[in-house]
Amino acid sequence: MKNTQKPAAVEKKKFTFNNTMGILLVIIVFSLLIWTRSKEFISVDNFITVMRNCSVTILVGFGQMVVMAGGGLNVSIGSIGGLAAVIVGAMIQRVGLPWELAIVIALLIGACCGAFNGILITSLGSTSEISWLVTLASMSIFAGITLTITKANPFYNLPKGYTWIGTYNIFGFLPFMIIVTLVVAVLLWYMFKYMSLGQQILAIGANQRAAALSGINVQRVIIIKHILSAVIAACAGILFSTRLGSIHSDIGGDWMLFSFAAPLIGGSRMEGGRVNIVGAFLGGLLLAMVSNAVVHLKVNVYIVEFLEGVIILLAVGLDRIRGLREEHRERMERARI
Amino acid sequence: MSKTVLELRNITKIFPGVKALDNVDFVVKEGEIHALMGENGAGKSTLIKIITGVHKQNEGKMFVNGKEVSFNSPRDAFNAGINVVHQERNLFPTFTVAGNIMIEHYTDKMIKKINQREINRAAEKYIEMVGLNVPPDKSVESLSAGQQQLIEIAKALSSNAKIILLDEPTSSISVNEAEMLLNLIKKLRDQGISFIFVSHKIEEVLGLADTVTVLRDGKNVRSADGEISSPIKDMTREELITRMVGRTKEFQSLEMRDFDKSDVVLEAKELRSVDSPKPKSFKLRKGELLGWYGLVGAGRTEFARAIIGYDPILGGELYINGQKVKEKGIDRIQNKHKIYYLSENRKEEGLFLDHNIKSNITSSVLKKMRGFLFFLSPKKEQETAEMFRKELQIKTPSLKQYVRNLSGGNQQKVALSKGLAVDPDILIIDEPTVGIDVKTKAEIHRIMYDITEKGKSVICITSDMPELVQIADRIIVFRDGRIAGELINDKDYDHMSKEIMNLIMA
Repeated sequence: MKNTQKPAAVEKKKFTFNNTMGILLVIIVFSLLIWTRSKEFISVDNFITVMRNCSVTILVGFGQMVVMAGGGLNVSIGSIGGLAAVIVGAMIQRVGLPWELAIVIALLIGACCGAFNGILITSLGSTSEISWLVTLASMSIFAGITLTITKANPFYNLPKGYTWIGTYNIFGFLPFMIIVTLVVAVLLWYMFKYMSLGQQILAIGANQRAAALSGINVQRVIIIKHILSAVIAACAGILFSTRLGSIHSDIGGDWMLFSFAAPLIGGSRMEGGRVNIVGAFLGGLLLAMVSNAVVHLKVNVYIVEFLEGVIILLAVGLDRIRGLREEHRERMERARI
Repeated sequence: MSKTVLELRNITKIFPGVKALDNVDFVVKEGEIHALMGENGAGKSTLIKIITGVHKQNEGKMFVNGKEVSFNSPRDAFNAGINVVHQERNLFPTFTVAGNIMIEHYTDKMIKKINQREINRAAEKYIEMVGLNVPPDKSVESLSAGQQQLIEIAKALSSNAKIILLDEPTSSISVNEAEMLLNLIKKLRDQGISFIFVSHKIEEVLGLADTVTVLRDGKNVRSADGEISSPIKDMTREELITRMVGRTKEFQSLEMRDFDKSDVVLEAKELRSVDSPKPKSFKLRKGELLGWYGLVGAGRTEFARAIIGYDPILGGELYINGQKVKEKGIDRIQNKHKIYYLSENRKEEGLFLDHNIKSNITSSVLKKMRGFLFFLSPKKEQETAEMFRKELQIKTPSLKQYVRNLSGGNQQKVALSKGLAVDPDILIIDEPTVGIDVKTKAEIHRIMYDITEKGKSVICITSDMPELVQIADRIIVFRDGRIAGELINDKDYDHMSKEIMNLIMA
């Protein structure tokens, strides 16, 4: 009996919710379900809308995933995104710089925000708890800077070239925005799979002590991963504003939940050490589709947040339950020796 | 004559209050398996930590390949070619086999292209060297404990380690795997790698090692002709045990007592739990001080945790005062059967370091401290705490002192007070005197004795053999998660220590 049970458990593992195939299946089933209620859900127009929405959601998820991979978290992602967008607005309208240069400066300032987080975290002890506390504080600091710059007034009348990024569709159906996200995805995939830096981040997430013993400069890698995370967050903030045509100071205010949800649904390990880029991509897509579907079903918009909460609980809960079950199985196996 | 690869001269290491190593020499030659032996607390771990750069010696010099070295971190030792395989695994669980073995090859630079295929191919060589048969892209999480250990050795080999330190390598793996491992060690030795082998399994040491160095009380035990180490081939098991145990200084033993006719207060029948899976039976009598001896990791704490209901019971029965324990959960068992467990880890599991003495002592009996309208009564708290301060002679200017600021001995007294406050019939005390100075140690022994004189029963888990022989009425020896034997303590150290060692090393 015992022998026949074991391979079954292995088989089952291949088709859990956290698997890339699993999310893809969920996405397809979900689309078809909504389609039966609202035919417009599967249409070119709605495809464009969902792609634009998800391109930002996915980037935000990537920003979190990079930090999570090395064992830690970054709750200041939303504030960094908001600050970067506002910097672009201020550079264009108050300083009079061309928008291309404004974007570069905003990304650089994003990198500074990340370095600020990373340096503080490593000098205070490099633990996951510290990263939470530091970024919680810096979230407020960055948001404060944003409000000081804008005094809560939006920037309107952005240059055509700038808004082109958020509105142009390749061949009339593929938003340019999603290309930006795809490029970031490919770069991240390459980094985690084929670059020493990616492996070092994952090693720290898997076992920080062993990583240090293996000669990894843990502090430096943690700082770099926070810079990466912040640049991706800044990128997301800027991308979001290109689409809106105006830059508000509240960009990024509601990003925290899905920054965690996208990678976790996608099968990244919460404690670090394992990432799934395709999974996070699909996770972000699923989240964007849920908010979109709510509009199509004409249900109360306020339920979106509720649903997102349920989804993240399901994803994390399933993952934890499996983890606990495995732990239990391991203990029982040891007990049998 | 092969050359010396590692040489330690006149190493002295002092911890606050304790001289852990006193003028110790240690020499390892190229291509030998060198066993390092000694009782618990003989200084082995400290010596290992100095060799691997975790601690720095206060005095003495260390040479690797004839060059003097000074290690400031484990990384320095690693770079000098010294690799450790610890008892607990030190791998990256989410990485593949090859990723774990080859990690050293991409930790030097941040921007470096990784060729997975090449890494897998390179890793295969080391996987083969350690005699494993797993694909390099398999996740290490899915391997057995023994296989994971071999991966660690493969990792050491890939980083060109010349000296590999194995700390109790066979303690957590199966018999077959252990045999494979020992064969591998011999094979690698013949290729010129030196091993420092720490093991309590005497047969294993006699069968495997070439040379042995024995430590006792932080000093070298020299052979008859004054050498610090001896070749294993002219050693017998008896000789080795005698060297490890030796004669110790005078000490005062507690009075001998006889408990044959006393009531049994606690009886375990074939009791097994998740973390203590091998069935064990024993009896504890009223007023008895029962000593549990064993090596670190022999399963004593785990068994105690099964008894107090912390770890789920898988089988067997437990009787306290003749009643079968059916309750589940530590709080219910503690309340109903009046049994209390004092953790070995007093700083993390026993005390609230940032609370004061008074609230620590009363924390276990808050219900009894209630006064008007169920509010806590400061008066009752004060009285209770004051009583224990007098009784146990806790040295402090005030009961408001934070426990963090007390010495180890006084902290242990506070922990004891916390346990005694619930007025238990049975008290299990885990390692009561670790890190405590000699004088307070004697006081704590006296406190435990006084408790038993009042008709309560005490189980004292200790890894300190002199202490054990000094205080216990009866001794149970644990080995590999089982009870290896039971001895009535005649409090004659020479005789008892040999008997105990025989049970441990069987």
